[in-house]
Amino acid sequence: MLPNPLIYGKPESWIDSFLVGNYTFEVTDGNSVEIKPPTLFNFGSEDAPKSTIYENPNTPLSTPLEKSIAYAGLGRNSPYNSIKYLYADTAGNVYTPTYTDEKSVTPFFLYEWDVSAISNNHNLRSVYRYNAKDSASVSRSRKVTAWESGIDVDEYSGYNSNLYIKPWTSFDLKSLVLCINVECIKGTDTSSQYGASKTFSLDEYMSNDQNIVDYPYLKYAEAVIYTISGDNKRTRYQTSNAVRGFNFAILDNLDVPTTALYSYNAFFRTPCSIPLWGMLKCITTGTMQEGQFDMVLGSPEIYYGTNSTTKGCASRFSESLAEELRMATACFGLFFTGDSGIATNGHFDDDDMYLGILENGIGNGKYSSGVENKNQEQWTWRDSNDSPFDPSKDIDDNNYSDTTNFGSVSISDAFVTRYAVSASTLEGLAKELYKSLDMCPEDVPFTEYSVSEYLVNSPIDCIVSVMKFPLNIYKYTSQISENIYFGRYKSGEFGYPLRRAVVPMFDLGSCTYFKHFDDFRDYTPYSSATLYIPFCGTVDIDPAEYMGHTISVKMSIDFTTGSCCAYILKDSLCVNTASGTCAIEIPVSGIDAYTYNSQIYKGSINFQQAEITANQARDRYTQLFMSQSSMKNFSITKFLKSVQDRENQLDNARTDLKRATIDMVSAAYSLQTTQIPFKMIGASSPATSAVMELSPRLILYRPKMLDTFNAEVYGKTIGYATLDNSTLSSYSGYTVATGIRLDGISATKDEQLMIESLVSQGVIV
Amino acid sequence: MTVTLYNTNSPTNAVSKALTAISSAMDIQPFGALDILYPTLITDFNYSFLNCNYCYISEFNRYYFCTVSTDNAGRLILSCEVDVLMTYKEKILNSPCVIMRSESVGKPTLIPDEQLPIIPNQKDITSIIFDSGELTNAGEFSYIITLIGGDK
Repeated sequence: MLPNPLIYGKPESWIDSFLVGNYTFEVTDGNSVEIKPPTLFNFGSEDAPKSTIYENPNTPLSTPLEKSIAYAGLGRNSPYNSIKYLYADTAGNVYTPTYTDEKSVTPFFLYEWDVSAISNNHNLRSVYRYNAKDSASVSRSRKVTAWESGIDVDEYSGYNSNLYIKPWTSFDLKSLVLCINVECIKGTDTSSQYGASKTFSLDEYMSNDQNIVDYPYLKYAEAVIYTISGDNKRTRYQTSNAVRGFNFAILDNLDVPTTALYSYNAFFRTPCSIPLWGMLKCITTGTMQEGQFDMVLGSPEIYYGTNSTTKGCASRFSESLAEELRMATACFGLFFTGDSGIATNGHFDDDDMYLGILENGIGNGKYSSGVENKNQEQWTWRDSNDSPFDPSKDIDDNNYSDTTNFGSVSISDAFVTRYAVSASTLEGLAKELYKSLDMCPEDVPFTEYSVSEYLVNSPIDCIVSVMKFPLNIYKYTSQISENIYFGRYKSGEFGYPLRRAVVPMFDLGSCTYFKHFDDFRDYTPYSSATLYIPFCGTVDIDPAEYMGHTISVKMSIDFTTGSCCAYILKDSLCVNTASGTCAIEIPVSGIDAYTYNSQIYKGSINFQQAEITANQARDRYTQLFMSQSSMKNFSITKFLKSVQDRENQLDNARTDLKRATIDMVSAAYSLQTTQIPFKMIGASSPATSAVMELSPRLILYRPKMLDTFNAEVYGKTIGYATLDNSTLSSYSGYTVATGIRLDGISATKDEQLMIESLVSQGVIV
Repeated sequence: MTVTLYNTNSPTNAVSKALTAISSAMDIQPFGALDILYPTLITDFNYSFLNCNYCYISEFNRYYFCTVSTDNAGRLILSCEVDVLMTYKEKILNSPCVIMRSESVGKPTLIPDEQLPIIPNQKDITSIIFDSGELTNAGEFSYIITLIGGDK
């Protein structure tokens, strides 16, 4: 999108960059592309909009430039979205950063500066804000020496250095190439200087093993900017801070710790380069002062230094670190390489030339190389303003993925052992089990023998489960045959143990869902499809979702429970699941002696208790009548009261007797009818699924046409449905149209109505 | 009025019609009230005019369908009806509109077409079997027996 003209002026007011000249550069197919110089906006020019806030010296210090100047945003994998802040204490020690400024997307821009109009002591880069009270950011020029104590930071408050920032308003992406450079060091002693360092281009460093041996640690990395300097030629532009140059800056405020140096603009040590990794050291001397913060890109593992000239960070170099640097560079959406030779005169589609991939204008670290660069949108841009990136809109920074990553699970079997066996081994185990029952010594109770030998009351209880699976399990075992144990009893039969219950994932195959009619009849409600998955049933397949894509099925089986889960993938993305049970449980019957014994014992006790209670009740009842008949002294009142009392007691005794009798009868019944309990280990589950097909099948339902259908006649008399905003002249033959616009026609109103009516009924063009 | 008589075999709903001239432009009088859309013309009898079913009236700059009849005096009466399609052919062909149906598309498209004769109560059923996977009922070691204990 174009930069906002209210801020950055109209395109006709833009001026060419000092990268003068219109050069050409060859591409490998022999053609040359013309590369125009970038254009830029000059805030101080007469054409600049007068309303721009950046011209106002009273603009707050923390006001970055308006974001429409950005052609892209830095997304995931850009170190600028997780800048760390490193503090050096007053003794000069540096420690692992404890604060990270996290962002999702950061817009940025490229700019030039021209300080020829101001003194050499001024610079447009960040300057240490030495005064701890001043927590504002710096976007104005300051004297380089302002880090010395006592300087009044407002000395130049009326001096707006934004006037000297000339943002690039448009540029041809083929006008520059970034080259990744690395500064690597020798030493490992963190208490002193790390020793000699050397700078290489990334590919130069990695192509020679001796480099990695001599300088094994990465200290700093940057993307050096090469610009077109002639036909088929680029040069690394280098300049000092006193003359014109260019660089990049981010357009977001930073959430910096108090007293930290701050700048929204470039953080560079080397002119015309973009830092990628390491400490930024944002002062001209390249050192970090005690009591100061520095910014760190990437994640160095080692921080060292006890004085201002020896501070630094490092990580041992690796291929993954190299890839991290490439991804960080790719986020800018520019051409880049790790080879200085390619940077100088390589073609844009050379194998070692990369191009950062932009997704909705955001660079997330992906990149292409070689001829694939031609497939990126930037290849066809006239200039950066063809980018769709609009930082004023909500930025979609979701991490989109079209691939499902499956994990792996294994479960420890500490208390049981699983064996993969054949049917014949299973039969042998059954025989061995029955044989073992005969081995119980005569003078030892069976349950005692069983617990001792088999760890259970009954040998049959050793069997936790027997299941048949619809696959050959051998390859999921240790593949070493071992003796099968019932508890501690060695059976003599052999099986393949599964030491850990792995839940394997395997393929059940795939197919591609092709069009049949190549028209609306391929989709619902006219066509439909279902996917049969063994043991899991069927899953509805929406033709619109899967048409033209590969449908594949993966299945995981739980060897513990026999359940299975199928995963339906559309290409590489899992979009549906279905579950079922694929294992057939084999029933194993047995007698539970312990349960039988306990039930008999309990029944006996109940009977004894009931008998005692019944006898006591009977005695009380009898005593009542005996006492009644032996009364000697007679008194009417006492007699009547005693009769009443006796009546009450009699009732209670009668109830007790009745209850006790019931208990006794019930206990007797329990004793007589205690059944020998059978224990069923497992239940016979339906094996019907196993007789079905064991491969998935995509079942397609398609419409049938009438036999008498004649395509030619249909076209001439009814026409084929279409929905096209066009003109009748674009078609031929029988055509039906609606909404015809007859603006400017000389026909009468009635004639216009006639035209609309005829056209909507169908005309022959 | 200056009228040119034609014969055409083109369908009435054709935008552009193939015309065979029966006469050159000649002067024919209107008959009755003058109507620009439905004019009636009268002329002397001429056998060749009996074939006329189409005409062009220069003053109106319009094309017309014609029906020929005779009056009691044996003169030919041409009852005309304006053909808006031929008259405004260029404008009609080049005006923006929404094309709903067309012969030249040639075959059904992705736009649902309810007029296509699909049998509502019948379906063609077919299936695609996937490549063979690992599931099999014939695996030699397909049983898992789980036991308490073991050589631990």
